[in-house]
Amino acid sequence: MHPETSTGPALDWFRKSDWVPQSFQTATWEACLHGFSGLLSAPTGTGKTYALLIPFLLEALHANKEKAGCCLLWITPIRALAREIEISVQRALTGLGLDWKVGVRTGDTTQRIRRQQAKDQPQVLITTPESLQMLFTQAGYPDLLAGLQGVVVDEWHELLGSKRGVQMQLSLAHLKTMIPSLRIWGISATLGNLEEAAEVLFGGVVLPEKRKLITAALHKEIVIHTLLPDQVTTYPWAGHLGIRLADKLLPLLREGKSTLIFTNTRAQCEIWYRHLLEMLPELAGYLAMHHGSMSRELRDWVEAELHAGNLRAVVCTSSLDLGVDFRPVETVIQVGSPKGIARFLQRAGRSGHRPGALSEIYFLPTHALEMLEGAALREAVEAGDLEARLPPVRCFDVLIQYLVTRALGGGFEPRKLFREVLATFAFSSLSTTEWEWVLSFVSTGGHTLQAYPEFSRIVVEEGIWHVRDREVALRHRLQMGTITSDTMMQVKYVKGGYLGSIEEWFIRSLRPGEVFWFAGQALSLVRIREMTALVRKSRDTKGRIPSWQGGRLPLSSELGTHLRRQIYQLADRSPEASPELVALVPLVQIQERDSAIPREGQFLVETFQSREGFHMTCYPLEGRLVHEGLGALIAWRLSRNKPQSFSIAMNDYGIEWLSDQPIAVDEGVLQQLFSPEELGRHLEACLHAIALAGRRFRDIAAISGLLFRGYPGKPRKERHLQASGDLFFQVFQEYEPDNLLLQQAFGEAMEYQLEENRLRNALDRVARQEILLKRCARATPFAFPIMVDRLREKLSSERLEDRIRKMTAALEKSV
Amino acid sequence: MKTVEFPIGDIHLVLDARKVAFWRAGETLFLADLHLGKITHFRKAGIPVPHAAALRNLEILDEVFRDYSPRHCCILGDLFHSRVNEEWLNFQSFCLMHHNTRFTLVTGNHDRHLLKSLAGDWPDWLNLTEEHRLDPFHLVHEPQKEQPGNGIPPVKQGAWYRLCGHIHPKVKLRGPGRQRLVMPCFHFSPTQGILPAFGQFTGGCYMDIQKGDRVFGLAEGELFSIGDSPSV
Repeated sequence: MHPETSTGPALDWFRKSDWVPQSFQTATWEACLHGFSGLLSAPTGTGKTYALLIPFLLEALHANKEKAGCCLLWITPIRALAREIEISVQRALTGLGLDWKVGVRTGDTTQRIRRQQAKDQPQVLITTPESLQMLFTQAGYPDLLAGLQGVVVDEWHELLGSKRGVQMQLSLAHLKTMIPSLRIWGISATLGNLEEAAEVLFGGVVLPEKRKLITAALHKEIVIHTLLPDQVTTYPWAGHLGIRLADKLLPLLREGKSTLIFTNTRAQCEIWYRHLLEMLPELAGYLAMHHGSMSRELRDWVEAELHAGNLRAVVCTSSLDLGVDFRPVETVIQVGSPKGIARFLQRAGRSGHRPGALSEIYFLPTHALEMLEGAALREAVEAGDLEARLPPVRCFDVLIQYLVTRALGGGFEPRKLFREVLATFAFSSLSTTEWEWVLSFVSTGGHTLQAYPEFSRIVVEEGIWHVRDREVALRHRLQMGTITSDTMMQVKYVKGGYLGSIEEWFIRSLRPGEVFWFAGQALSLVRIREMTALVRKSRDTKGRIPSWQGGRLPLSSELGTHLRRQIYQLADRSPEASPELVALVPLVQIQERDSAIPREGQFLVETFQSREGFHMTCYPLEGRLVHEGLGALIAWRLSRNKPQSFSIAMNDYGIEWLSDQPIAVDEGVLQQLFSPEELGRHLEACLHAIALAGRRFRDIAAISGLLFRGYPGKPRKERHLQASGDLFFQVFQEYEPDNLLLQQAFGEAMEYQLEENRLRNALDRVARQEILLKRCARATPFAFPIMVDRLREKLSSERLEDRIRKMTAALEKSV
Repeated sequence: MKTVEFPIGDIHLVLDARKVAFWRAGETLFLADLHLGKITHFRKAGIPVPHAAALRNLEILDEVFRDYSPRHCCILGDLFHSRVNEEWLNFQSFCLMHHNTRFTLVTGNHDRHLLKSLAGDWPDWLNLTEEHRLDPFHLVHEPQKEQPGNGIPPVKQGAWYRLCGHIHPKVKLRGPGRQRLVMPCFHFSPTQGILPAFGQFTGGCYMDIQKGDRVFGLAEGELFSIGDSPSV
């Protein structure tokens, strides 16, 4: 580093380009030039790239000597962004007159370009976390990186909460060990826990005194409009797609020059695309759709057309969330709850990118109660409340994969590697016993005491651990990474042309000739060939919409808190109430007549009877996942007093229990039912922990290299090495119950599937509240959405035999 | 139940939760899809399946032999998973130890690797056959499609009953809501019976249950009858 490096050339270039350097940019330049590492928090489109690129270029200008080899690594989690960054970098290189090259190296990079890069190394290398790890498997990579001055990890908020972030931490620890003077910088969007984000990025690799946290203090005013129905009483109380309100969108679409319509699921995306085309046929040709299962080509086309201004509107999912330095759109519409405040803000920020311009976003609720979310979001944004991303720790699957990676690229010495690994945030609590277990898993195949000669993955030669087996090496390289996916089938036209991918179970449920909608097109299934569904276009307008299992995020804890506050205000009838609260008055009147509106400090529980049986509902507003666990917990606790069978339904707002017998509760009983005492023990007793853990284990098995998916283009070769995650789960449970991967699966199930911490907090809160029990004559407006929700789970206190008997009876009826 | 008496017409089979079937009249033990050597094969390729699981196959078979003392043991295919390895020697010892039992292997698709490995040097303690008629059973590895009209004459009631493996049958039971139970099973139709895969560390395939089928699921070391239609 060269603190005496002048920022002059950069200021000159900015001036010539008619740009004004922002204070966060100059602050970052200063910090970096003085040898600091750090974390920069700046929203998209504000010049974060130049905040971090410039100091390294300035140093090169100042040093004025030929620097061969890679000097700056720019890590981006999204391949599609690499090109944008490359363009920005090239512009700066030209602008500053620096004779450097910039290159991109991702999974998409062709062999030809890789060879070029090997011959003539670019000084700035843009790559992905996975490609960086891939680099670590190649012999001689330390020479490539010998002159590295800095690493920039872009979109750190995206990586932070996932196993990709854990992999990134391991990579950074390694790079810093190789190059002690290395400066590490992260770029993050606004987060609820920036300090922790820095802690996770740096761990023990960069000490706090060598870090700078810089926030781009750019305030943008955000205006939230909730589209409200003319008459609330006729608006569906329960989960439809808000199609009825679609006509409120028409004026926006007719006038708008460019609009993004965000939906929550891919299925909804397909449905809305079709519906809008039907309502506004003049949009044909100017309306497109974009979601993660469409082919890369289709998505690229949509993005390019949007850039070029040829599209008036795009219906999309979170696929268009991620930070492309996008030309802004004029209008942003959010259909249904965005589930989280940060995501909502990010989408709002898409509109009106000019500095000082307003960001406007339209919120379209899909049922009456959801209208409150508009008000809740407004309040949350004003308060500056954002979700915190929780970093995963102690991911043994990622660690195992990493060990094999390091063994491939030159080998490692265990004690040295252990110190490196301990420096990361994710593995700072790793014990020696656990480390030894991991070592034995990759070298002796699971036995710390004995070596079995038939096992061959990593071998030890003179204290260095290597992979020597060519097949093991090949398979590892093919399977590296932490992004796993469900079994997807490709969808292609018979005549060629790839459309995208759909989950296998959906395709297999179709009969040949059956019509379904995908990527905005009606298709009929011709036949299935291996993992490809061959289709042709259909004129049929009726067709099934595929659904994708993933992507059903629960309501965030932070948004839930604000929603609860809105509910407490409902009964106030304050003259300053938001338009949403005013619109809900007819619904509020019915709720008050039949039940009550809870106040702060009250927890509402309702009971009523119907033709279906005896119902009990409650409204914690803690999100679907917590409600799933809570539903099972309460049912189990109730059954301990008196054996009873329940059907449980839940959504993000509340829970419903349905029984054929009366549910005997009063305030006292409810207090005990919702008590946080013995939560852990009771949860274990009532939930199918094994089934949940089994599901998590599939990913863990894939990441740790147990599952072999076959060689590309040669699906038949080595089928003898294929086994499912479930099979490994079974065999480990039976023969190696202390296997750390198993424990990881159970831990992940508790934390991610059940959100155990959040559940506990919810019960702590209820314990401080007064139980407001209302015995109602009929279902209330609050209860309605839950009742029609399709998720139902029957919990039984019966034994396995009886369960089987009941289920076979049902099976026989269907045969 | 650990065992179930299952009559097929005049034939009496004993189904055992250890995934074997015993025919009393012929003192014959039937099992399928051991896939011996699979675990060692994985381990050789660097995939750490627990070694102890490999030994368990023959431990269980030993217990079965003690309970039934079969004079004849028929393996309905896929005895060995891939190329020969150490587990073959264990199997050889097992068979030589039970020298009073005649062992027959009805070859399956995986067995061709074994055959290639032992080319020309086939042991005399293991009879090899592609299909076998053992009155009243027709023994093969792969099941055949039941629909009439595919060229294979259907087996008449009381005539040959086909026994096979290959599928590694599993049955999936659905409860209300999202309750699911998946388990390996014995699957009997009016004309053929499919045995569950005997081997530890074998996967499986879901089977449809048609009217007239009798299915026995295996869970937690017990057999469960699924389907109450009268016996085949």
